[in-house]
Amino acid sequence: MFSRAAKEHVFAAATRIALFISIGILAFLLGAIILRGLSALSLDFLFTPSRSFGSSGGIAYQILGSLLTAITAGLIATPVALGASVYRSEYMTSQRARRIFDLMLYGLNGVPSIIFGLFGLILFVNIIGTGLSWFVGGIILAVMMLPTATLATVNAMRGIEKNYRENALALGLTREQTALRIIIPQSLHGLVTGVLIGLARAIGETAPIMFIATAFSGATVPTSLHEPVATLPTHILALAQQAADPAALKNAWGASFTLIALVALFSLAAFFARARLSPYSRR
Amino acid sequence: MGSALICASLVGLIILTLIGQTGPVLSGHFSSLWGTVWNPNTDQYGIIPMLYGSIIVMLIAMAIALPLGVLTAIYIAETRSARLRGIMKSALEVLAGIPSIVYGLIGVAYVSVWVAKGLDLQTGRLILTAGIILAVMILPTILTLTEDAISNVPEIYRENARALGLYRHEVIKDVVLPHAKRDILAAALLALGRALGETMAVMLVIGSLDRLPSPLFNLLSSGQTITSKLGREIGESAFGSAHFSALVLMGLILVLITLALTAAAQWLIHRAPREAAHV
Amino acid sequence: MSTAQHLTLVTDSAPQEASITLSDFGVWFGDSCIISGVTAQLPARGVSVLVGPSGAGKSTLLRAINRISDDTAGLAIKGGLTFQDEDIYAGCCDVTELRARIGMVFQKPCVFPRSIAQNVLFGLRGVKLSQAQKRDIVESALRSAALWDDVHARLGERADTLSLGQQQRLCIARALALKPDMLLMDEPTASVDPVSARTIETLMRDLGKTIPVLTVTHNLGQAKRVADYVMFLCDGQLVEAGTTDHMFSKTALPKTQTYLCEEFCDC
Repeated sequence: MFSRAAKEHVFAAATRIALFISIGILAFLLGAIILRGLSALSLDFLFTPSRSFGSSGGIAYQILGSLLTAITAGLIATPVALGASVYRSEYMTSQRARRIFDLMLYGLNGVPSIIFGLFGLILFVNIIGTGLSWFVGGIILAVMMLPTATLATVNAMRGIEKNYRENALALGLTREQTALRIIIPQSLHGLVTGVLIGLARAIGETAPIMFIATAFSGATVPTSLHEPVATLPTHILALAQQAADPAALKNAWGASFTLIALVALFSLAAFFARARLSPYSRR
Repeated sequence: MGSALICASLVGLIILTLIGQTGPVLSGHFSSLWGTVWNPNTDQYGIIPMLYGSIIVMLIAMAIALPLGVLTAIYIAETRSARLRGIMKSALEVLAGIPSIVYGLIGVAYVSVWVAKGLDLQTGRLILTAGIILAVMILPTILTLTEDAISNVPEIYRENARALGLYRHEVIKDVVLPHAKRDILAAALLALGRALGETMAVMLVIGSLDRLPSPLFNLLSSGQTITSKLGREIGESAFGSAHFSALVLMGLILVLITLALTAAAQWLIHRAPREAAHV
Repeated sequence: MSTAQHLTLVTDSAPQEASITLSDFGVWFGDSCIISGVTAQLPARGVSVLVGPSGAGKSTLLRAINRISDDTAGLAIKGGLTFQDEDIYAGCCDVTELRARIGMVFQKPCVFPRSIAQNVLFGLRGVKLSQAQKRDIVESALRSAALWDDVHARLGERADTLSLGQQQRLCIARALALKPDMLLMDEPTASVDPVSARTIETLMRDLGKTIPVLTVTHNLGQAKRVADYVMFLCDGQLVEAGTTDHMFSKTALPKTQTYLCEEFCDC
């Protein structure tokens, strides 16, 4: 059999090869996106609407649609996440209840994105009858973001010194007042960070909004709640399906780069939010 | 606070989803569900090809990404270079933020082309291609989590083992990996769940063929997964029809599987703490 | 000597002559010098003790012998260190194999999450052993570590059910199972209760009869009790080295006397 020293060399080589392959893959991904994406970008591209099913023209309305649905999602998710985490932190006293709550959130987090789309389709588009609607898209994205935002806020609340709560209650503040004046301000960094991270994910999602909020052609600026919009991810999807056409492909890369830039924007915002909003005790 | 409502709704959302899915007309075409033919026009809704596709693609992805990820993570965690760790971590964080549709684009523009050229085939839209793209997608997750797990093994174990005259690979096999086993398993489950649930990237490169490949293990044929099927046909099927409900049923199965995986991963992470650490 | 050869010498007479020779030996981590200019020869039998105030470099010197600190960033070695007449810092030296010949026991007992017997056998690699051989090795190692009586009835139990003192002796047994040519011990009694400490001290003296034992200690009483040879380090320099009688008497250097008798060192 092989000697131990020989086995050591083989193993070391194997890990080195694995590293090499992994780095190669990661570098290729980043490189392709940056290079192909940049070459397709121009101010024109960013600010004009698309034509001929996307193979020419720009992505102005797609950017708008993506931002619109994302911001809507953020606005919906923030109060819900905040309320839920306050409830969990301050009112749920049983460990078991908390565990179940957390489990539900993790479960929600693990649901495949297309199921959210399916859910939205069944519940909102058909049963409630809203039809294609950007607003519903925002709702669904908010639902997707909820676990991320809530868990981040809960974690921030967990970190609050027990002293704060006890002192507040000793001073005669009610639970609501404690929550309002002490807990919430101290956990804002978690909430904001969580929402921003959730937004970074949500803005890139295709499947959830694919058949409930978007239309490929004809969508411009919505004038009511019940209209579809164009978004970047669905645009990329449509372009990718025309892969044989180099012009379409080029625009797909440009749209991808823009999308990733938006994702990066939200992620950076989350990073800075965490740094600037953290209470002094945690810095 | 209306927060009690909110919490209840969080739970209710999931349950509602499932109830919503009981639109399926299980009564009408139940028998055909377990067949292997999917043809809405002839009222046949065999879901086996899609089920098979999902599982096979997931297996390919894990078979590629897990060994690659674990070995790379071992290198990174055991290396003395803090710089390498730093660079890898940053790169992995960036990659984690890339939307799945972009992976799909890469699959279409590069991987499927390479597979077709490399294996001299007419098209690169194959089960294999989908597996490869998925592997690339879950690699960052596996890498980060496994590297964390290995780094968290206390140094003192390694030191004692080395002092006994064990080679690095023996230290890793007999001391480090057993200690990190639980976390690595949780990471694998997480990656598995993501692989099963991924839609866009798979949809674009799998070829959309609703048939079991023949022979069964022919990775070089086109295929279909639950997610790619849903992605393609939900828009085309009428709400309330048998077609639609069959699709919903597949979705339901998928959710149940992913929920089970999540629960398993959670249970794994929160089990009683392992051997008491005097160290 | 390989592990396989070790095992065949189980019933042999005394192991070969072994001594550590240091010539102008120094250790740097980056820019900071931990020890320098150490020249000494350790006896081939008996217990040698490294003493000195905190930060003197005792542990560093000890760990340099089995090269366990090799992986630390910025490590630089100057001078020579020979063991059994080989320069252990020569490029051709297989560090892993060296560590199988030089056993080490650490300050904090660290048992692996396995059974007691498995812990003892943990370092034995590359040899096929029958169940009978394994049992013999476990028994002989545990007896040498004065632990056999305590645990012989529960060898299959997990090692972390033992008390700290017992765990430390298990670590000693684990090292002894490899039949090392030398044993290094870094403050082995610092983490255990006084009764176990005494047992381990007796152990050290017994082990010193067959192989050289080098230990680091802050406990001067312990040094006096166990040592045949004492090395006094201060501020990275070897101040003086000699037999226990000499070092603890008025014939030693004033600085040595100050430390050993009054436990005061102004470095």
